Amino acid sequence: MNYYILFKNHTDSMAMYTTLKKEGFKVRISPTPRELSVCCGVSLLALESEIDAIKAYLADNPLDHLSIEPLDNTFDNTRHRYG
Amino acid sequence: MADNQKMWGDLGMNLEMHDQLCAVLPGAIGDVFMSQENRPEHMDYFDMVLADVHGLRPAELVEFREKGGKVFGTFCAYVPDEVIIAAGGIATGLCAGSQFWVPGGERYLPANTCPLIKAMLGARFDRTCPFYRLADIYIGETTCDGKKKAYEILGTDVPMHVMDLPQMKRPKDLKKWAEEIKDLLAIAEDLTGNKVTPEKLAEKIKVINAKRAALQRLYDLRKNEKAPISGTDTLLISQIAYYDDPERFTKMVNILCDELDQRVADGVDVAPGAKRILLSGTPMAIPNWKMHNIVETSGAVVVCEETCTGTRYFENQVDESGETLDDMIQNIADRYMGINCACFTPNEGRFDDVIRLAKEYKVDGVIDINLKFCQTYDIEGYTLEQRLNEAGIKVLGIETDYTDSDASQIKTRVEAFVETLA
Repeated sequence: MNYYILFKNHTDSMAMYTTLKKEGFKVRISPTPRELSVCCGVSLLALESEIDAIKAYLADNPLDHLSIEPLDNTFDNTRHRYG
Repeated sequence: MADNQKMWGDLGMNLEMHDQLCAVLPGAIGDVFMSQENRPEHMDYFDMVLADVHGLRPAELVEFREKGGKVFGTFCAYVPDEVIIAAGGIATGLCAGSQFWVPGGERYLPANTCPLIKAMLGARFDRTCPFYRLADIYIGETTCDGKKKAYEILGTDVPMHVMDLPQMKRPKDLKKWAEEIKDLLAIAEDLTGNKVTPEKLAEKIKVINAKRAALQRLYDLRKNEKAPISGTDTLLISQIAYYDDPERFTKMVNILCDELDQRVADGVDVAPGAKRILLSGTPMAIPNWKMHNIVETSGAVVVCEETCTGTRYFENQVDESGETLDDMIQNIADRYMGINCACFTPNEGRFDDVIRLAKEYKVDGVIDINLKFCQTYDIEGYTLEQRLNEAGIKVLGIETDYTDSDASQIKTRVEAFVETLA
């Protein structure tokens, strides 16, 4: 399972990315999957193994975001579908 | 993320159709980029630009235009950004790398036109790319017959200026190109209302030279025996080079290169044991990552691209010693005429470039990649193969388009080619 942190805007996403990276979380910048939003935009992709710790960190250190959503998707570099 | 939808609506885009692209692009990005292991940390900037490719930079362009700024849409490595930004304009590349836009282009162009050109027209007329909506004028160039005729059709819908690129490289052709650049300068001044002074042009020549130097530094790092970055990631950077603010882009490439310096020192290799490939041929406009993805999942790593989204874009600098506008314009012309595009005849320089690069990057083989119906590069493939054979360098020729349908076939051919490499 992948976890996506969604944001209202790019500024909020980069603020959280910078903070979570400093805290040692292995979050990555990702396009927001269509299943989670109707708009191409920046989200953060978090590891399943870290998501509880991230939620706990955000509870203590609130940072602007819309929601955290699970998505059962895979990244397959041999799928060869390019849009 | 409602802001993007509003911006796209305000730009007159076809939201319903554009949403189809939004539906598939994140999956493709996931497969091609997020699946990679051991990527440099400082790819995060380029990932961010890509993740919101139709949102972030377009929003900056909207703000720029609201303040009276003018945006110049370009299609080619021959259009000198120095001149446009010296006039206070912004130069931006225009999307042309997805099959998504091709059917729209086929409503205006014969099917046997190269997919890049069809995508250009599809993106404009289907109103599914914000960059096409944001450009106040398009700057074309006569680098192939298909583009020339396509520009005539685009010109019915948007202000269009076509630079007449000579097709030979005699002294009189260099003078002629300088005249074309003078015309562009006059158009840029007229549109922006800003006078280009020698001081301003000299300053912007340095800005774009610095950008080229950063890209050269990135490419030089790929010459290391252990690849510190994948070819796919480097391609993305080259594609973003056409869109991004040049000074910010230069800064971010140099930050990435600092990390790659450390990776080289630490012996990091993103593709241990992989065969080293030079890709040569037609440009790969965003989001065309097809060949890199195929090659880098077939036991090889792309270490250099002799393309317009590769070395042709950044090799050679503009001489910074010019003091008058005329001197500077001639220096700009000389640099750009040093690019070896297949539209020139003769074009021995390109064959020399490919062989030189193959040696500099210590490649195991060359893949000559052609977009379907790109006659000039296709025809040059014959001589290029001969020259590479004479130099003892193995080469595979591939013709393809933007569809996914031939990916498996190409992968089989690439895998077989990689197996033959010593």
